[in-house]
Amino acid sequence: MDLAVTIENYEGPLDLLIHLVHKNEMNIFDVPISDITNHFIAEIRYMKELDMEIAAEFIHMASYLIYLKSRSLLPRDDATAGDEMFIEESFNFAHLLIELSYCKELALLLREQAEASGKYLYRRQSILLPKEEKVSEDAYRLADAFFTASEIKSENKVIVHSLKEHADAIAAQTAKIILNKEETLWSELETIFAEPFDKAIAFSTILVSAKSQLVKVIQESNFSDILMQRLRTATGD
Amino acid sequence: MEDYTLQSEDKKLFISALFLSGKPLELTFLKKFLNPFNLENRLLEYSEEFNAQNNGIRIRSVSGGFQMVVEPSLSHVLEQYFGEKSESLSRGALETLSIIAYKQPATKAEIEKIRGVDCSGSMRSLLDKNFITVSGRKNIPGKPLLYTTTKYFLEYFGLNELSELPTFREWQELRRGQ
Repeated sequence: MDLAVTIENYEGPLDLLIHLVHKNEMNIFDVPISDITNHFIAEIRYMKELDMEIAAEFIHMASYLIYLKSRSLLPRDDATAGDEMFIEESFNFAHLLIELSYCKELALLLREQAEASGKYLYRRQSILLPKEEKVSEDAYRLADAFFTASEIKSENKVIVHSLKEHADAIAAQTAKIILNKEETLWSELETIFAEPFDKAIAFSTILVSAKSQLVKVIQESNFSDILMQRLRTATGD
Repeated sequence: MEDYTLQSEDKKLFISALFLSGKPLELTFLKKFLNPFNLENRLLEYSEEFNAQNNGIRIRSVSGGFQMVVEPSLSHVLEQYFGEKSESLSRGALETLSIIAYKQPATKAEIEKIRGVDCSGSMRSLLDKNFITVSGRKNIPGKPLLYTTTKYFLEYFGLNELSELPTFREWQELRRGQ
């Protein structure tokens, strides 16, 4: 004799509800609370007959369903706030069932997808090509490199400083020349200062002197020689 | 002429990169070493050209990238020699995963509200298998963790993007119509 054992596969009371909806061919979008409550309680009784341990959440769900059923049987008065809350509550409950039903179908779809996709075999780990390893620097060598670099930087500063000193010397020399004589020509200065940098410093010295009313600068036309006439002798720089 | 040689070089690089890679290669990654001009269309062309050769290996678009795979028709033979025992996901885990895919980012409490049962076990296994990940915390009292699906989720289920799954709205319209 064959022994047929069917075990309904459900996890938790919501699962059982969905199962009952499908079993009794109900429309998931319009589940009659009264019917589903009766089926649910019948199922729990059946579980009891089989001597199965009934989890507390099933009892909780049964009592909740009975509550919803009894509330729906009470005469309605649209004016009371309690009724609105009840309507909202039963709507939320129905929506929850619809959402779970959707997720269950999505799960089935995912299983199908996984089976179809599982037939594609592919590499799960990349082939890594050996690359020339860079030697990692230790802290001391890094610090050493840092200080060497910063020393080079400070040497650069010295060069800038010496340039400034040089510029100061040129400026002083220029001032001396133009203030010692009554009249000085730019061409004279040009013969003394050959380097473009020196010329630039000499020229700016003349500009400063003219600004401080030490000399008067005369140029007859564009590109002609410039004449510096001393107005008074310098008292300072 | 120069363009032509450059493109054929790109094709070779693209196919060899797919051969080496253990995960789908995305456009942003490929742009690092391929000529970015019209790259997406060119890659689709290269893939079609490659697939037309019918070598038993295909290039498929999955999880927003490209991947080199063995044709499904060969898997039943190759599985015997190259197959690896793998656990398929349980019904509960798949349901939890589909709730996360639908509600994401979702907290554990939101997921459990829909399923009506404790989901700790299935969520732990989904986290271990890299199907879901923690994406942050929800700004409500208790600051619960938020979970989202990963790129590997798309890869495993052969999806290019999440929008390939029917939305709740689409599903409702379909079911109501029946």
